[in-house]
Amino acid sequence: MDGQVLKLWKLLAISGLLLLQTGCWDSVELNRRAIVSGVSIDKGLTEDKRYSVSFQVIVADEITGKNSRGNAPVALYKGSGRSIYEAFGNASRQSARILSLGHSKVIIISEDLAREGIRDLMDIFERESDMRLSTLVFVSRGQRAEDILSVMTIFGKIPANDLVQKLETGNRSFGYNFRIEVDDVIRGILAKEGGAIINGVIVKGDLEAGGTKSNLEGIKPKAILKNAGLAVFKQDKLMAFQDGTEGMGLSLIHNKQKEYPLLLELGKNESATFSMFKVHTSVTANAKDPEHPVIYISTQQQAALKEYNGSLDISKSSVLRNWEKLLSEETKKEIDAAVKAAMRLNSDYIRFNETVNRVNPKGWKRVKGRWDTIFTQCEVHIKVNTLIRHTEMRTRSLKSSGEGVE
Amino acid sequence: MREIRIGSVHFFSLVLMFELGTALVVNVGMEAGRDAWIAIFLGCLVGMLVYTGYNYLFKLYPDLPLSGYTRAILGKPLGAVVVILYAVIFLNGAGRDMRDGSALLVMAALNRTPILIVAAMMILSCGYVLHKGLEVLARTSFIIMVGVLLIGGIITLLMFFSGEMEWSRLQPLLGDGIKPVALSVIRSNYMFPFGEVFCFTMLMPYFGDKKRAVWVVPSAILAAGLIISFTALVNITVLGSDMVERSPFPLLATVSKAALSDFIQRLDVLVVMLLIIGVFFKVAVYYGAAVIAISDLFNLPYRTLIIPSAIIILFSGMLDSRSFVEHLEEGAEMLTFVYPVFTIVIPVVLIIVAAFRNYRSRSRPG
Amino acid sequence: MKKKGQSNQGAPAGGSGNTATRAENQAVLNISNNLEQTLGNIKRELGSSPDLKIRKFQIGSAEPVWVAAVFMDGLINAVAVDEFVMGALFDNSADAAEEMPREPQERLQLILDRALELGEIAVKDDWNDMMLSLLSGNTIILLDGCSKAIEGGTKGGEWRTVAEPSSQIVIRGPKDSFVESIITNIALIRRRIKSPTLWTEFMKIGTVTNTDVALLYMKGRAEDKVVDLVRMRLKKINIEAVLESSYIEQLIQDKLFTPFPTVYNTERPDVAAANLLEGRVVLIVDGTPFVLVVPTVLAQFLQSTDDYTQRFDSATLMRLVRYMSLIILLLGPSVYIALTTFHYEMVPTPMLISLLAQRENVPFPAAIEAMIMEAAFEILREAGTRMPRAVGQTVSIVGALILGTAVVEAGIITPVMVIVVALTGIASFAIPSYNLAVAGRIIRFGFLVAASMFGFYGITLGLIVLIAHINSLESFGTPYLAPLSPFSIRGQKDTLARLPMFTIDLSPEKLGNMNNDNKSGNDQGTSDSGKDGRTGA
Repeated sequence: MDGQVLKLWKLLAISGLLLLQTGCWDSVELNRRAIVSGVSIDKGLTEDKRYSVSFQVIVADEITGKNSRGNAPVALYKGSGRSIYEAFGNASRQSARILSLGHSKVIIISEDLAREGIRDLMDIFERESDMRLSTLVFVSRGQRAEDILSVMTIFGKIPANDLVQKLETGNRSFGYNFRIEVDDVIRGILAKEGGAIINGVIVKGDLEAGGTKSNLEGIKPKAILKNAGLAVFKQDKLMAFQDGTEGMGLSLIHNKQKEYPLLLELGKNESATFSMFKVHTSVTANAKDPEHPVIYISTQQQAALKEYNGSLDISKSSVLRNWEKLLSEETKKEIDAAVKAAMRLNSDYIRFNETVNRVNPKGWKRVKGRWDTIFTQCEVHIKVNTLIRHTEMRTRSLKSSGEGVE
Repeated sequence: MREIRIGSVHFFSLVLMFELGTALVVNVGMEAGRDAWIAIFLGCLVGMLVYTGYNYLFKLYPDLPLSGYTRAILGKPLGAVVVILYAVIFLNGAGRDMRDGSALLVMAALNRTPILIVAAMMILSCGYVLHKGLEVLARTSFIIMVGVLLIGGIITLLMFFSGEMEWSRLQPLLGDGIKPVALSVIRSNYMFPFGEVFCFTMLMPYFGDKKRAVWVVPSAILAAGLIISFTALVNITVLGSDMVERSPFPLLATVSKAALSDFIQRLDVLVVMLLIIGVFFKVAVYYGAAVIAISDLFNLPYRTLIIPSAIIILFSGMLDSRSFVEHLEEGAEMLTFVYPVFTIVIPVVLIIVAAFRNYRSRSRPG
Repeated sequence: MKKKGQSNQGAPAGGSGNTATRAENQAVLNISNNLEQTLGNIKRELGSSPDLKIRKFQIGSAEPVWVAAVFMDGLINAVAVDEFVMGALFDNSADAAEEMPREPQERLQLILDRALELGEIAVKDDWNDMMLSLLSGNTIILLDGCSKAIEGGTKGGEWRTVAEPSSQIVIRGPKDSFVESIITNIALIRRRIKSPTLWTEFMKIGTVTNTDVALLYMKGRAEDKVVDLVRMRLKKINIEAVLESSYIEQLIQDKLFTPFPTVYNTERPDVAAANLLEGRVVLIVDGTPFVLVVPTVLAQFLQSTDDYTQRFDSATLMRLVRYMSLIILLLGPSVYIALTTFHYEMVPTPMLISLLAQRENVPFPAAIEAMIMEAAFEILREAGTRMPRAVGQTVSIVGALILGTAVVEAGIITPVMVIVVALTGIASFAIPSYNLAVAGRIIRFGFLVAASMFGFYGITLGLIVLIAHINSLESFGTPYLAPLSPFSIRGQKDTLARLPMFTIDLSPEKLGNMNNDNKSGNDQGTSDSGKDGRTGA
């Protein structure tokens, strides 16, 4: 018995040692990694280099400061190839460390590439286990995508993070851009009748200076990253950018806008500006006759008066009632603009198809193949309900008080 | 080997962990598209139905495992052949599950580690626990179950709070009719994972409280069915059925979407842990069933069989196919053609013969 | 196999235990009629040790008889010997002198009946018994012409007085602790449980040291099976010397190959009393303030008297903190390794950047770094424990502050690693039981290796195997993880949480003994067959 136990222990010890000998296959020390914070994809310059891909790599030493040499906090590695992975390989060859995609926050696709179609290039972002589905996707509007990644930013040293935060802050109260992640894009592409929506982004200012430290030296930055419109797709091909009212309407339809500003023109030189909040939109349909579906878009929102330069007495509820109506009209206009734009582009990125499918799956199957024609003739009813709870910290405006004294 | 008695709670947890196994993480019932969760639930009900058959046999022979009553019912020589077949299918099941698990692990987390090493670690751990006995396995499953449910709860809460779930993705309910759902159930859904409960026929005699045994296993199957169904539902609401269909582990993708600000990100590793735990119990139960069957048939001591069985499982699992895709193809065939023979056909034959004999022996004196 | 282990562990005196025993037995001596001869034998056997005191005197006036009182200096209670043995013999025998019978037997009886004023008295006719009694601190009274000896219970001598506990410190609770004297220790317990059902059994263990071991249990509360099992295992012990209760512990524990302690020890009488009330068996070994408690469960090692002296809510919180500490101790460094070298995507980006910057110029791989730091920590701790108290402080300051800072400054180790190691170190101190903390410290290294090779895969498998291992342990028939598994709702009242007092009864069910009637417990522990219990351990 003793002998046997001893043998067993020996066996275990030997196998343990053998295991140790073989090493740690997947273990990678942190200082062997180059953390990629953002990826940009441009159209390759030549035919056999279809994609030109840039990787924004974080230089940790420059960010935490202690050993900082005062250089740029990120570096851009660029590679091109027939596929994204080939380009990735080419870029990796220039890097002393392993390019690690696990922390990439943004993917930026150039506009010209997006116009040709993004179906092929999204595959890797879904397949690769290192990538996150929650990575944000952008389209660089009219500019090369790599330029977006090479702008020094004011807050936080990593430009990709800056972009993410701008998007989130904007979506919080003013902008109409909202978080659009890899899986949102993929679902958009997969919808045969519809298409993806992707945030647009541009660099405003001096592109050359944006990439150097001189960008941050003055009080006025020479170049600044900016969200710009929503790129709408027909399946995987970019059709147009939606700005202003159309963009806002689009965001509203998708129920992504929780707060946004709205200005009421009240005659000449008089206006009231509101912040709309608690915005909720729902889309339903009556598709008893799937050939002629009726879409109902209904929005509930509350408004807070932020700025007023008119002379009306707003301590009267009748005034507010009237404004509520006007505000509803205004919102309705925005939504309507978005719907009209979608119909004009003949791409159902506003997801009426899903709505119809939901209420009448059998009917939907019948019209599925012809949705293109049906969609543009959909009857759309928009109902907006606005509520002004209060007028914030003051009642009458400066103007009306001043006039009163005179 | 000393007498083993497994308490009801522990038996429940063992069945639950076995059922959740890989099913929680991999793609189940996606032939039914966005109604996969319904298919899973139906599969679970069918699985419970199948189980009542085993229950009948268990009531007839409460102290014998499948390998015992097969021989009692079919006679020694024929019974022995059937038991050998069962032992082979158990070993095969263990090997397949181990391959499943290690392949998924290598895909998801350990890209460069040789799959053989991953599998060897797994089978070593299973062997160790089985060496400690089935009771230890069951008790371990209970504690791990608490952990798994905790992880599940955390993930669920996160999913709810992250706002990634869109219930409208589930609609229209049964949009394509009941047919794809039924098809999915018939093809494989009732078998994976619910039919696989047939290997517990080998463990039933160790049940401590024989009266409760009848209820414990079905309730575990039901609980597992609800959990897997709910998981599928969450997957679909988060990712949409298209994406779920195309991914080998939807849960991993789903969880990677859960993020609360910048702090909690990428909890996928929790899912990988769930996978490891699930695979472990799946392999361990099949492995244990095989070892009991062999030791019962040839009257060999339980513990001496552990290492040889481990080696068989390890290599049969590793050599059964060249790639994971091939392995899955094979698996689909096994689920439709081979497993039903063992989970349904043979037990039905056993039930008929046993019932007939029972009838005869009862009517003869009367 | 176990026997080998026993003699190795149990015989620090060296030499083979069996031969020594035989040599003693060979000299078959008797208490002879001749007083001189007997005294000579005693002297010879003890090697004329100077602490052997022999007082010879005559009693009776008519026909004086030679009587000798033999005792060991230092082991006796001098007052008792002087007054109640010598004094009594002189005074009372003088009174009884007229009647002093001729027959030696009757003389002996007379002395027993009338002369001695001691509470504890016995007659010995076996030489070895007599010698053992002598060496235990009793006084032996020998009569010329009589082949029997009177043993007077005069045990005494210098013992450490009852002081505050030094290793199990509480904020609120009794401040006394066990001492080295077995009698005092039993008294400390009896003072707490004034019940006739508190039964005590004595036995002597150690062929050379003849150490007294007391077995205490509450009749009716302790399971007879467990008591029998303890008694049986104690009887099986074959060892030369027992110098501390850990000698006994290592010989009666269920399983050798486990880092987990399956016998609980305490130096607090209140803890021992509580355990007795819960139906456990307490073993007190003479010469050590640490008493053993069996059977035990894992949860017990994470409990403290404070849990019961504080309010239930704070007690529950403290207990959860301890469980958390155990988890941190086991998994802290390994999770850190797994996160940084395998699953870097899980670390929040800002933190990752700071980790990355720290790691930039560190020469070692993270796993090696962790090993070095953990080893250094163990060295510091070991140095701290063995140091004289005054110097110990310096060691910890030098170790913790200076070394830690210097190592980081020099860029050899990353600051985060220092934090992680320090955290696990502190966590190990938060565990009330030293034994369990040691087990955790050992297992921690296993997890470290597993994590550095397989990341979370290694950790998960390690956890499963660890839980299975703990589950396979038993302490005298009680599953080690009771009442968690086997699960008992009633047991949960005082395991992870501590519910208010009125819900807690001290009934033995807390042990989780209820559904393991199938196991007698002895099938694994003491059997040397090894086939079932050993091979995989």
